[in-house]
Amino acid sequence: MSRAEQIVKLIKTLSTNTPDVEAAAVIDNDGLMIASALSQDMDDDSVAAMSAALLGLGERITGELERGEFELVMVRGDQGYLILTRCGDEAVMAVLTGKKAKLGLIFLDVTRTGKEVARLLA
Amino acid sequence: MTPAYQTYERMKAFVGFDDADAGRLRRLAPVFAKHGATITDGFYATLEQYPETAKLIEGRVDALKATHHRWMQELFSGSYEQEYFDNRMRIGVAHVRIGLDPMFVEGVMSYLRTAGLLAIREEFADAEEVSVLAGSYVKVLDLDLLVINLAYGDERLDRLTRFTGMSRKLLERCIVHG
Repeated sequence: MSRAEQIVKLIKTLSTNTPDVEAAAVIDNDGLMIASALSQDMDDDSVAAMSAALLGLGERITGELERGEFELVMVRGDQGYLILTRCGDEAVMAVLTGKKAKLGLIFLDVTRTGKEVARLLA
Repeated sequence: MTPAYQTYERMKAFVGFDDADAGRLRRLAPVFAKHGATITDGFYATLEQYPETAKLIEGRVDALKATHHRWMQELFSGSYEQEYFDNRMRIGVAHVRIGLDPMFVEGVMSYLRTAGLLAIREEFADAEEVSVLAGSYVKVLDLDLLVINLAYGDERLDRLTRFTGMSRKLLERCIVHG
């Protein structure tokens, strides 16, 4: 199994095993999709670039406002959440959830999956 | 070879700038040695008329005139390779850093085109000769403008990179998807 396939498997497992996680993707710092488990009606290229951009800004403002070590960016819409977090120094994980998501549980699973993805990318 | 220099070389080929142009520009060196100071004085007089540019040159007009004189000497040096490009790029970056709005760079080039063409017409009687010399002069000014525009593009992307924490490749990808 290739590295990309292993990462797809990890993020699909995250979607399957964690309630309310609807989709996930792993993107490199330059905004290129590494592995996607997003629905087919989403534009992977645009989502990848926007996710990396948003995470980059999140990291910058965390430093600028002296909020300590960056952990994640969360965006809430009335249909659910987008969570962006680091998986290693070179990649970003984007996770989409439903609006009733139990965020504490999701953060735990996202962090664990992020570490596994980082290990694969190292 | 940097991407910017590759672009410069591509554009030289695109506008048909060749050794014959370089030779013609060398021939023009004495013309601009004669008319250069007048052109430079007129150029700075124009810059002093507008508040946006006047404030950028205030108190250092003489030093800038000397720099402009060197710029003009290089323009007719006959050598338009890497060293020429690097010097032009440095000038471009200097323009960006002092905060000169790019529209004034376009305006300045327009002034130099007009003033230079008048000088060429004054020195050469043969219309055909004026035409080919003017062609080479316009081409080299256009290439200089291209380099300054490259410097503006580069510097703006660098600033955005520093400000947002986003890589250059990511910014370019965002521009493509925008």
